[in-house]
Amino acid sequence: MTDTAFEGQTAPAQAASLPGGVADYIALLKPRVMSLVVFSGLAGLVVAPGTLHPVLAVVALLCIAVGAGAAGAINMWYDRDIDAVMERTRGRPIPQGKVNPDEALAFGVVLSVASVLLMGLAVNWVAAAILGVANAFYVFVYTMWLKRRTPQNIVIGGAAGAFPPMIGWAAVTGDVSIGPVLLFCLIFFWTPPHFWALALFRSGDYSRAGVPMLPVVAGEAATKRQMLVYTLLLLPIAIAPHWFGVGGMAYLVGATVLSLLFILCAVRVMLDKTHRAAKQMFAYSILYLFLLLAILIGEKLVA
Amino acid sequence: MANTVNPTGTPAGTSSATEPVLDAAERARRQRGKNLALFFSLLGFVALIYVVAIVRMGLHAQGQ
Repeated sequence: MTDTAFEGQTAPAQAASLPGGVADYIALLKPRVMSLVVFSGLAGLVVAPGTLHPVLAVVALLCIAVGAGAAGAINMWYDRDIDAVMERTRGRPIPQGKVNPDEALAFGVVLSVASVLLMGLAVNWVAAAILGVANAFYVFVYTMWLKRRTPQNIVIGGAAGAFPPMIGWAAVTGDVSIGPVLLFCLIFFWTPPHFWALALFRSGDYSRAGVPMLPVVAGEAATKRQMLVYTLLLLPIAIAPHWFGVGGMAYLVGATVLSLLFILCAVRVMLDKTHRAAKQMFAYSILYLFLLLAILIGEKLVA
Repeated sequence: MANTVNPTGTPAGTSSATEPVLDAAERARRQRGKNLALFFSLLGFVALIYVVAIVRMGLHAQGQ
């Protein structure tokens, strides 16, 4: 957790390896996380009432992608000590000594500021402001404040990942109404069971790094109960966009079936003594959100 | 460096004479890659600003 621990873990790697190439800087942007962020931003953009010039829509998505990636780079800079300890993250460019931490920070800050400014100048300042708030929330509230202090880190911090549909919506309309708030809530309540499924089968990693994830602090049984509670809460939240005119009948049916399957996953995790069900639930959670957003987008495009 | 393997596949410890040359060449190759990536990123950014300006002027002219 300390700088000393970080130096002790990474000094050999830094001495041994060559400076990183372009691929290492791209890895700083967390491209896999970025893909779901961009997709949720696209959902907000498509389902929002009104139209946006295609070029400006592409610019809006680019800004969301770069902004999210930049926040990821700053997160990797700040968490370089624990990343070096955790098996899941020790292959990242900074612990590997491929990218200098200061360079990673500069890279993240420049891209973050540039994405917000470009969004403001090219699209509108409401979307830019939300993008700026999302980045700041992820870096300052989640990464620097909550992550190492409370097992509720990803519950509150999950808000950072819930902003993209709101940004996409605001890019089209220039304001925030009930529709984007519902999409925000959908991702906000999806985040805890998603991350706790991961934390269940990676709890050793988090424990070594001193990150107080719920399975580490409260135990597996309590975590599994919480996961079930959140998936139960998610059912009415997931179908709510239909009642507010954001999604149609296909969305209502899809959201109900997918949410019931998500609840079933949580029940299986509760009954499972191994981590197999947790791994399956983690994989399903990604598919769940992807399919929900895909149905929303598909419905709007067909209509 | 004892556990590393150089680009020829020879254990690092057995080719100490050629290793620094290879390292320098690889270092230069990566730096060139980063320079080119930065160049094309900046070029793309300038082109993007140009296109956005044209689009927004068009929208402004249409009164949107």
